[in-house]
Amino acid sequence: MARANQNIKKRCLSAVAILLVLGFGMDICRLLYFQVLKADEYRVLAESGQLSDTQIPADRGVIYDSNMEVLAESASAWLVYVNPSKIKDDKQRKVISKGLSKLLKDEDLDEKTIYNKIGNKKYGYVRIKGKIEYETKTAVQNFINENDLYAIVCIDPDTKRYYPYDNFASTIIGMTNIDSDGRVGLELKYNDILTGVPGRIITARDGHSDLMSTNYETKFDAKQGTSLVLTIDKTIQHYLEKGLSQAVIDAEATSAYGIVMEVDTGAILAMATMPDYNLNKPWEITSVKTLEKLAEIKDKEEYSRVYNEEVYMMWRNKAVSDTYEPGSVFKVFTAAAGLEEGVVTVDTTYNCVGAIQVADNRINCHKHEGHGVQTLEQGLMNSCNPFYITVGQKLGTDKFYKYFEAFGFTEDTGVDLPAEASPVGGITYHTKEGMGISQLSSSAFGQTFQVSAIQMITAVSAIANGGKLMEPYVVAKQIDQEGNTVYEKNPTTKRQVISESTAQKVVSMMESVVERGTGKNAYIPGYRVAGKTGTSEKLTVDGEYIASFVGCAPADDPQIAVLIVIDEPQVANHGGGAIAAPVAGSVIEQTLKYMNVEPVYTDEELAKLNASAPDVSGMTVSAAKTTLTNQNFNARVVGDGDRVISQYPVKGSSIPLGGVVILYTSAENTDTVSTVPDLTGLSISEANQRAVNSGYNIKISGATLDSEVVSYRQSVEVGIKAELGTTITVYFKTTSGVTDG
Amino acid sequence: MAGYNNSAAYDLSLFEPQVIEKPKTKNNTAPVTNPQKKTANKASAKTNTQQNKNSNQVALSPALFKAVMLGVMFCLCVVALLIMESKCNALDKQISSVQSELSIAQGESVRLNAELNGMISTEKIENYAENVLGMVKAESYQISYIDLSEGDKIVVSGDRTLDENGNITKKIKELFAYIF
Repeated sequence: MARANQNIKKRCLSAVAILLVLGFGMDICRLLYFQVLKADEYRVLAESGQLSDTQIPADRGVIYDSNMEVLAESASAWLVYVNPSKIKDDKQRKVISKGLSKLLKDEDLDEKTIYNKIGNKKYGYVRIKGKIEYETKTAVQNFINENDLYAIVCIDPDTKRYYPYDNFASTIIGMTNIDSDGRVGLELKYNDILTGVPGRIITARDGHSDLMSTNYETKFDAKQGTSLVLTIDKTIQHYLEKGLSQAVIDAEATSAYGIVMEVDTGAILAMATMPDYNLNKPWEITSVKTLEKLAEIKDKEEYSRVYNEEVYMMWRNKAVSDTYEPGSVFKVFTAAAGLEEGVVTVDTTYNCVGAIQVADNRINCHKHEGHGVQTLEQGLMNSCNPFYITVGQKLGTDKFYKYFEAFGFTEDTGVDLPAEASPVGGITYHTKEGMGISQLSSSAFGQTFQVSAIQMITAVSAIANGGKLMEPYVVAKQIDQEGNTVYEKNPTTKRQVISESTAQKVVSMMESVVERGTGKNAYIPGYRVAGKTGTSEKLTVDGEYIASFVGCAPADDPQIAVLIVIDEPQVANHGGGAIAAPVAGSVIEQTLKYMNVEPVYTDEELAKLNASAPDVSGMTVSAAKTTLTNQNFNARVVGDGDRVISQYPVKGSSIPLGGVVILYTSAENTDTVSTVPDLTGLSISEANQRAVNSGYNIKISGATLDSEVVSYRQSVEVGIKAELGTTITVYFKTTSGVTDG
Repeated sequence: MAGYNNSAAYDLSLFEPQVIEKPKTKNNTAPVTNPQKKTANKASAKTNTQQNKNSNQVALSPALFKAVMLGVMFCLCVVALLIMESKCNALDKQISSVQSELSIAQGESVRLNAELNGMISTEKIENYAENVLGMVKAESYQISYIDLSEGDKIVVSGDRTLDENGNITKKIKELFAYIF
């Protein structure tokens, strides 16, 4: 019995032991599974529950102009988001949507939109609005406190990009998207460099998943991105943008774009496309024409499609991304190739009879009656097509193509801007193999192929700097947060295209074009401007034209090259000489003055220049009148006193010879303002006379050497009340002899 | 406790009831830990208890003092640590708050500078100067240059100049004449 009991006891103990071993064994195995095999996975899960990891966005690098003026800069901002999973009921949802829509003041975020956005309780994060500023953030924070919305409505750090000058250099700078990544322009091209290293805040959570105090917080500061210093000069950029904006209005054009380049280095001093856009409101269409076009579309889907197309078009940097038909501007390169190869000299003559037969085609000159016998220089001045077709034919396909290639028209320029238009052989230009006599002849005077504006100005700069083809660039250097230079661009010479002597000859020929040829609207007294006009029919749109002017100055020692392209002008006289040359002239004049290039006037120029107003205050009225008359000025007396108390313009002010000086003879002058007259459509003397009769002075600007100039714009608007004696700048241009083909 | 005492920073056994061996006297050789068993002689026991008390007082005084002192020091350290911790927390919060304020101020500075630069852009200034004030840009030929290649000259009176080669007395006289 005792033995049996012992057996039972043993069995029981064995069973218990087995149970214990099995039970603990399973636990141990399970423990091994969690602690060893799945250790990493569960550690991450545990950490995610115990720790809160918040990213601190890094400020993007600053973008400066060449004088260290800030063009784009980032600063701390905030982001508002909602955790729908924690919204208690519909009443709270309504409170949140109403409150946020009121505080965030965004057209796209009305109460209904927010209400719908935060409806799905499955989500823990719904972004409402980013890049909000301090004032709004404080208001949202107060709203959270007042309505006890902790952990439901939350605020996270964010950054905001500021562009101080709105539209200024917009197509170069570009902008960022909501995630602060570059979308277009330099912001896109240099995104990796501009983007900094984000920081982190790691904080412990308590059992309720709420954040614990800062004692349990580890912070890694964000590192700002590298900053860019551009070659763009804010002042020159302003001159170019101002000129192009006016050109779009004057020529009723679809768009206009231009570039100013430093010829010796390839540095781009200014680049613009008009109409441009506001970098702080990139989705807002600025073109009146486009807005009118959109207003006519009733269908929502169609509207959306056209709107998006137009926005992307507005963001486009046409000076880099678009190609155009260069027209007669290209004759400069045909001349350079002909001179370099010795197939023509400056004195080579040609008799233009108004047309030339090429294979089965008769190609007309823009002057149908013909230019007669002319030299190579005169041919360029007159922009004679048959002459330059002949030069091209003399060169032959091989030599012509050699220079076409050498000037960089078959390759990317390598400019550090995104979306450069790449030339495609057989599509944008004729390949050597596909260049028959017809293609050679049309190419020789700039037709049937396309180039980009950046290619054109780089090639012209090569002529201006003595034959060196440079690589154009926009970013001069990169600097870190402490201002240390981390990278500096050295000008890169690609190759010597033509000899220095050939380059000088071509520049000299181009100077004649501006002095006496089709480019005389770009003439500037005191400065020697060299240039060439171009007008071409668009290959892609029937009946539309492209007018352009490319030039460099001063001709004796070129420092800058300027290209102006006007797309689809709607005015009757749509030639490059009529509409693009005045813009280029204005930009060149202002730029050279800004660069302290001293003008040297000829006697003829000096005779037409303005003079300083003499000091006649304190004199008797008759003595003052005599003094003014002796110096070729007019006098207009205001008041009935005997003595001049004050004068306007004051002594030393600039007024044209024959201008008027207002003499005030009593202390209480009431008649001191007048209405500005219309001074457009007049010759210089007529405009001056009309201004003097109204008590104003004019400053003459534009083509002043030509006898057939007509005023086309004035600085003070017609009908405005302005003080007597005010100087109004009147812009003149000629319509005679500026047609090219 | 002996083992514990070997590795601990503080001897906590000092706070436990003391087990003190009776001093080896002729009358009483029994350990003080078992006074109950000494019931045979009450008077003797009473005398012994009194003696023990006296001897304990004498023996515990320095040890108790040390223990109290250590306890006080321990408490002071703990309090000091707590205060330091609290101060550190307060400073951490202050730094965090100041950093946050700095970040906000920097952000506001950038925003205001951007706004200011936008308001005084070249385009706006030029428009105002030309269209509102009627100003025109100076022409290059209107600029007169001053020749300073011959060095500076000091004008002391009217149209007369102080010549470097002149008599010093004469110059002083001229200066006084000019002043008075």
